[in-house]
Amino acid sequence: MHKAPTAAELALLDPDGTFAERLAGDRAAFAALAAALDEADDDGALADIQLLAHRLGGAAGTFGYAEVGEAALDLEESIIALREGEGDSGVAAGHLAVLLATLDVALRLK
Amino acid sequence: MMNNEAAADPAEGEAIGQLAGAPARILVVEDDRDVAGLVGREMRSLGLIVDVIGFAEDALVAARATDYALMIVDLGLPDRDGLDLVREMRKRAIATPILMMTARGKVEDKVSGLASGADDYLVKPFAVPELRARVGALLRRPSPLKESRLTIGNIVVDRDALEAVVDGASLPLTLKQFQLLELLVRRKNHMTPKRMIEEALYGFNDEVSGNAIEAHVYKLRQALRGAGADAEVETRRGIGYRLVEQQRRPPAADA
Repeated sequence: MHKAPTAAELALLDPDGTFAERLAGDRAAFAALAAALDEADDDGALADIQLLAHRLGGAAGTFGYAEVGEAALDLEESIIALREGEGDSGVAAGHLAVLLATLDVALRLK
Repeated sequence: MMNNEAAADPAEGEAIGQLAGAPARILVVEDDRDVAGLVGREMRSLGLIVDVIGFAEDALVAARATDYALMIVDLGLPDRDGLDLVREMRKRAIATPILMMTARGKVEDKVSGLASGADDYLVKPFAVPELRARVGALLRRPSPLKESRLTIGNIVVDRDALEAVVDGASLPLTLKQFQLLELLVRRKNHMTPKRMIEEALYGFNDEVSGNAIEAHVYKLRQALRGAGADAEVETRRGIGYRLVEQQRRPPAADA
């Protein structure tokens, strides 16, 4: 379990709060794309989720949101597996739910 | 991983950014605006001049035109894979040290990155102190492909000392004039487009007045002539400039 960053620690890394605003935007985008997991043949939507998760996975931990970053990378891996025909949409949906929950926790830290 | 030491240590910044006696210039190739902003901010706090580019093709153009001390390259770029970009740079003999940055952290990814020509590898998420330490280590490495002394005729440009000398006498140049001379000597006898000079002397976000380069060339030409340099800056209107060695005039015969 990661220690939650303090407001002071986050302020050092994101002094103008733009990354925190991005988290809110990404959360809305993930929520809007969630339906795509029920239609696993919509590869375009899955690709969008993968790209969004990849970018968030790379950035979030660097800005102090370690759990968000890990949840995003888990989601990315499950989407890659799904697109390669080796995954399970239920697993991906589970990872998405975890990511949305960690984003909610992170957004309360703002 | 917590990342709670982002504040810069000014003393360390001076040590890294002023390593070669002048502010080092680096290129950050990263399409994620937030990560690019963080990296750029940290690097500037170290005293470095930072250019940020989000596309691989633009980065290739910049790397060919500019003498960067270091490049930080993200693996996942929108128009081209970062590995391809690094391979292309090495193929074009761009020897600048490269720190590759990516969210992929598997051993095979690191091996691929290093095999493509990167000098070091940083996995996201990264801690800011680790980024700074890796950048510092790469900037301290001597580059065998970059000579510290360049010459043409009786002109010697000492990049470490930031000094240009003609027949043993130091030329009184501003930093921009010195950088211009260094670029022209590196490209001696080759035409150097005005655009390339602008990119070498100014950051991408700097505003450059319309005749700034002409003014620097004029002053440099005056300084070289005044010191008796046996190389001349030639102008090709609409194309650029070229430094060409001139034949020394024989001493005038006494009447």
